[in-house]
Amino acid sequence: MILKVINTIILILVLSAGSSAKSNAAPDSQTKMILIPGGYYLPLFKDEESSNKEFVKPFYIDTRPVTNAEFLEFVKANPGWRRSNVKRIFADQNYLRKWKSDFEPGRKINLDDPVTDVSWFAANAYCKWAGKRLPTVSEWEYAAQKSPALINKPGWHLLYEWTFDFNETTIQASSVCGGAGASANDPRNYAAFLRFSFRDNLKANYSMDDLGFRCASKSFGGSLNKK
Amino acid sequence: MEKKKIIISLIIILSSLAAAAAAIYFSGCGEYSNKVEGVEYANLTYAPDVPPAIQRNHPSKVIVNIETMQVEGRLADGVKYNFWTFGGRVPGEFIRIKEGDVVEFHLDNSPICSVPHSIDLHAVSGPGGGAAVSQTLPGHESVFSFKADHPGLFIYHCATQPVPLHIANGMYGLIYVEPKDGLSPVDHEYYVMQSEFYTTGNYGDSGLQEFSLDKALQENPTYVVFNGSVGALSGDNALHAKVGETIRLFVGNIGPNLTSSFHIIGVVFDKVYLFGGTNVTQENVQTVSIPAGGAAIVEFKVKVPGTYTIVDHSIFRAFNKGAVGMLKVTGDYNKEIFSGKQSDNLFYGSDLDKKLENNPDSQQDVSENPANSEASNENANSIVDIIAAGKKVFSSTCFACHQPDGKGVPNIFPPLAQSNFLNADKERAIGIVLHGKSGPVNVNGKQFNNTMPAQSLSDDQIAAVLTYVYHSFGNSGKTVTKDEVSKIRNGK
Repeated sequence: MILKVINTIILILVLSAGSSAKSNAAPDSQTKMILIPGGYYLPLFKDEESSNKEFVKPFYIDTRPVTNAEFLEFVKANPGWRRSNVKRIFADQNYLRKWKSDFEPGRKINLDDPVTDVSWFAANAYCKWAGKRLPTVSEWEYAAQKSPALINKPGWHLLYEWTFDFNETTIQASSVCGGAGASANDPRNYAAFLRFSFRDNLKANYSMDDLGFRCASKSFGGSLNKK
Repeated sequence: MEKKKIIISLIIILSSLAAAAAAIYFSGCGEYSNKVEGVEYANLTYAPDVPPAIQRNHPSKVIVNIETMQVEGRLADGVKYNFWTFGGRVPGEFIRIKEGDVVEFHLDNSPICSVPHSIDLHAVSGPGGGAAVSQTLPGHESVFSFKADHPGLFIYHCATQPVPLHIANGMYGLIYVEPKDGLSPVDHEYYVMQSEFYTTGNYGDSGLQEFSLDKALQENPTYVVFNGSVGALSGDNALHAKVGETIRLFVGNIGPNLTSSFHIIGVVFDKVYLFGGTNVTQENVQTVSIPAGGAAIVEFKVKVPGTYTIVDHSIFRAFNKGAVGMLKVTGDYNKEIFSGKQSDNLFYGSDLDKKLENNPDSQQDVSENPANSEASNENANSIVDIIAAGKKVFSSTCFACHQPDGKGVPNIFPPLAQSNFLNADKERAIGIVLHGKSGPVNVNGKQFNNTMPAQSLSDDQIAAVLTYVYHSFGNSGKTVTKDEVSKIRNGK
C-alpha cells in the first residue's frame, strides 16, 4: 500500500517534470514494436486476495531495449536530463556514468547497445517523450514468457530492465532464507527470482550498469506525444 | 603519638594497595564485564586460518566489513566456476567476536556484481538474521548492527532470492562468538567448511562449468568439497601439526543439501561441541553429524606422525566427489600407541589357519610364512610340493591380471601361457617379479604397454611361483631355485 502511494507520488513528480519536455518532439523513426496478444499470465508470486491468474490486456512492446543513440537524442532534446543538469532526486551520481560527457557517449560505448545507468525517472520520461510508457511488471514478465527471444539477445550484457511498477511486488517479507519458494507459483523459475530480487531493491533514482529499459504502449508506436 | 601516626599512614598505604589490587583484579584478568567499551575492527581470516582468541574481558563495538564479489575461480584441476563470494573466496572470511559484542556490519556489494546480495548470520536474533536489512544492490553498501547475545559457532550465508542459487554459488562462511570465559587453549585452530557444487558437466569435466538446477533439485551434487574446491585442504594446503599437539577445528557445513558425516581417518575426537554450541556434548567420538546450515567444534590431540585424511564419511563423496582433506603430523613415532606394520603375511583361508595353530614354530617368527615353511620343510626338494606352493602364490597374487589360465587380457595384461617373452629369459622373469616392469613389451607378437608393480614376495615364494608358471600353461618346464632369486635380488 505504501509502495503504491510512493509510486503515485513518483508518477505525479514525473508528469510535472515531463511537462517541460512536451515541446520537444520524439524522433521520427519509431523503435520497432510487436503486439503481445492479451491473455492470462501466472505471476511468480501468489496473490492471496485473488485467483492466481492475471489477465493482461493486449499491448505493444519494443522489440529491443532503448539504445545509447536513442537516449542521446532524448538528452539533446531535453536539457533537464543531461548528466550535468539532472537533479539527484531523479537520478543518482551513477547516471550515464560511462558516457564521456553530456552529448558524447565516447568511443567505449557502442551507440547501438542498450543504454544503461539510467534511473526509473529518466526511463519513464524517455518513454513519455517517445509517446509510450514503461511496461508493467506483469506485462514485462508476460511478454518474456510469450516471447523469450525478446529478452535473450546474444551480445547484450543487459540483465535487467526498468518496469513501471518495479517495486510493487515485494518479495522481501516472505523471502528470507528460502521461504519465498513456498509463495511462488513456479519455484523453479530462478531467472524470475533474480529479476524480482533485483527490482525489489531498486529505488527510482538508482542508475546501474546492468539496468536499462524498453517502452510499451497501447497502440503501435505509442500515442501520447507522437507528432 | 609518633607511633600512632606511623600506624595510620601504614593503614592508609595498605588499604590503597588493596584497593589498587582489587581494581586490577576486577578490570584486568578477572570477571567479565557486561559493559560495551571501545571500538575495534574485526580480525577476519580466510580458511583454513582462524583469528586468534580475543583477550578482552569486556564486550566492545566491533566493525565487520565484508565485500561481496563474483569471481571466476578454480573448482578442481582444469575446472572453473563463476563463484559468488563473501570477500572474494569460498568459504567467506571467518569472523571472530566475543559474547556481548555489538557488531556494526558493513556489507558492500561490488559494483561489478550482476545481482544484489545480503547476509543472514545465524548468530543474529532478528528477522532474517540480518537478511531483511542487508539486501544490497551492486555498487551499494548496507549497514546494520546486532548484539552477539549467543555464544557459539554459526553459519552465515547470502539470503537474496533465489537463496539456494546464492548459496550453491559459494556465499557462506562461519562466525564464532567466543563465550565470555573463552575456550581452553590449544596449539592449533583451523577453519573447515564443507559445501556442494552442482555443475552441468560431470565431476572433472574441464572448462568453465555452469550451475545445474536439475542436479541441485535432485540433491545430487557433482562436487562435495572442503574449503571451496577439490584439493583446498590437501597437498600444499594440508593442515599441519606436531606430535603431541592439540587441535581445534571449527567445522561448518552449508550444504546446500547434504548432512555431513565428518570424520578424520585415524583420529578420535577427544571433545565434540555438537552443532557448534557451548557445551562439550560428547567425548571420544569417531564421526560427527553436521546438518546443512550447521556447525560443530571438535578437539583432539595428535599422537602419531603421518598424514590423516579428513573426509565426509558418506564415503562416495570422499572418493568420487572431492570431500577429502589432509592433516599432516610430524614428529617421533610412539610405538606404544601405534606399532606401524609389524608383518605382511600371506593368508590362505581358514583351513591353513588351523594348520598354523598346530605349528607353534611358524608363529614365533613373523617374517616366516606358510609358503616358506612348506618350501623349507623336509619335502622341499619335491618339485610337486614346490609347484603346489607356487600355485597358491599364483592364485593369490598373479591371477587377477594374468588370469587363472595364464592367458592374460588382450591388449592389457600379457599372457604367461606359451609366452615367448617368459620362456626366452628366466633371469629376466625373476627380475620382473622382484622389481616390477612398466612400459611397452612385445609378447607373442602382440604389443602391451602397462605397469606391473614389484611383488613383495620372499625368494622362496618367487622361486615357487615361477616354477609353477614354467611348468604350467604349455610353458618350457624350467625350474627356478631360491638361490637364483637371491642372486638377482642381491645383484640389483
